[in-house]
Amino acid sequence: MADDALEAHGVAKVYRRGAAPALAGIDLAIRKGSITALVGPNGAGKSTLMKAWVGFERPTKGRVLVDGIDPFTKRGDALAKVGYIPQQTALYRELTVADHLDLVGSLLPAFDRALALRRLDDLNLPTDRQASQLSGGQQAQVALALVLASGADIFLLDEPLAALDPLARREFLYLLVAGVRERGATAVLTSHVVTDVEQAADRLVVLGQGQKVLDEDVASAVAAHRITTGDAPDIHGVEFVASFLGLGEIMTLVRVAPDHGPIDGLRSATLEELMLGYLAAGRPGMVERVRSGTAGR
Amino acid sequence: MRTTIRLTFKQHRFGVLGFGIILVAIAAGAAALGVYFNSLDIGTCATEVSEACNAIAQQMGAMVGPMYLLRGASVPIAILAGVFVGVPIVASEIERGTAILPWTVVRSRVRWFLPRVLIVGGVLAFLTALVGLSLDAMHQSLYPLVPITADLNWYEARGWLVPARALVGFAVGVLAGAALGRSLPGLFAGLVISGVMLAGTFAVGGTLNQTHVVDVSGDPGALRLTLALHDHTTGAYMGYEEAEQIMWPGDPAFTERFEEVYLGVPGSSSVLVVTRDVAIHGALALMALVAAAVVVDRRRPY
Repeated sequence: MADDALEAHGVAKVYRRGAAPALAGIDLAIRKGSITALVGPNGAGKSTLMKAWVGFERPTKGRVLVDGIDPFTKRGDALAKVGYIPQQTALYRELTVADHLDLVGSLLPAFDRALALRRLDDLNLPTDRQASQLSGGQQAQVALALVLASGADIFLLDEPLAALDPLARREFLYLLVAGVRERGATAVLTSHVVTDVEQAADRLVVLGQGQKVLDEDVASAVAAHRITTGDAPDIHGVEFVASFLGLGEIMTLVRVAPDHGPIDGLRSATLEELMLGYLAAGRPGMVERVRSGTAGR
Repeated sequence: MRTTIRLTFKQHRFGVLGFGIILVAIAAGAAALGVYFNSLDIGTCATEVSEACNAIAQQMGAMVGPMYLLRGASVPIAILAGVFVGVPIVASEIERGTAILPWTVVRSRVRWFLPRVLIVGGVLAFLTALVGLSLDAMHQSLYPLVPITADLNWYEARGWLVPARALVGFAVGVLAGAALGRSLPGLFAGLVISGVMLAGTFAVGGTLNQTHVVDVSGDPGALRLTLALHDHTTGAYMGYEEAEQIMWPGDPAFTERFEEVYLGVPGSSSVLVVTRDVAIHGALALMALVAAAVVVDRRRPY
């Protein structure tokens, strides 16, 4: 659709015959101007989906679109719209930060070198330093500056915070959100730790075992879910989603009707609890074993 | 373009500098030997036997070892240089994960690939051409009475065939590195494949040389291929077995009728032969580079 920056239609990906699919038929649409958190455990298919949008991993079935463009038939047109930061920051160890700006500038006529320099200057990042001399956080900031100055409207960031300390994460997210909102761009961030991205995202997509288990606006998702310890209460308008292991106790996630007021014993679920609950749904094994007392034997 | 040149050298400086020093040393060595041999005035001793010429022969003999070393090692080193600087062009980018940055920025990966290949390949071509031309100068100093453009002696180990062979090694190295995405396996594959391809070019060139052989007995610049017998009676050229069918070798008239000659390629065909062989190498290098570009365009950057 015209309002969608990124689309996935029935996308499946199998890397090796006989192996479990990395993606098992994903249908997804990312609205233009949104910041989406694409979360899930390791192996859920988040990176595979990102790489499909960038044209690196061709789906076994289905198709992906970038602003309506197929990245496998019109790669150049699709890549012109996208700025991508991979899981491992792809900087050249022997090149300085300034060299990286020169490199991207030589490959991309639309590259705004002055903007990239301003962003790096705001962070007091010296441009004469080699990438190998930068910390993980600084390398991520350089990658972000390159991407924000690339003229792209769609940013795909694969686990951008994984190697960053808490302060560096805050700085990164702040600059990312500011950069994205400034121009009404679209961003998708993946993480296996949802607390990293919850404050930046306005949409949450949870992938589990190659499938989409949740796709909802953050505000409405938080409003529509409650959490409790023990079993779900038997109340009209409260629907059981899943039970999962909390810290020393079993947590139960429920979905409530939109107009339901506060319920005793239930509190608002955090995004992490939302993710855990939807991932646990359909995988009750560990919880059942804890309940029956057979876990760990 | 200046940025691309600067950054390409920064990324590949070790290979280019390392082999560059070796190639310049070889060229300098060959040039120095050429100057030395020229100073001996070997040409005056071509038909003369004298004490002075004996002394010149002894002085030459002292430098024959380094001369053969340079002549024998130059082409293998040029090919090695080609493979070693060619493989990392793509392989190191994929191995280190850095290909993701340019390949998500540039609209066409070939636009990223081609300048890098031309820059590094161009430097390699220049340095190996220096080697080839220095070896030509050294060769000329040894055979001063034969113009270099009419001399096929040792033509495969000097002149424009040196850079031509280096560029085949380079192109195959680039292809192997791009296909395998790893430097060390790329080096092994590049060396093996370029070795096979260059052995093939030797065979092809040799076969083509055999197709138009003539009597080159009196031609000092000729490429001598076969020893044969010339029948003065019929004007035909034949081997010993065939001549023995016509006349018994013990017959005193045998040596009057049959003269031992060399069949081969005349020195005057030197430019044609070298151009042909350079073109064959050029075509192979181009094919390998086109294949490498296709691989770069289609493969994953990791």
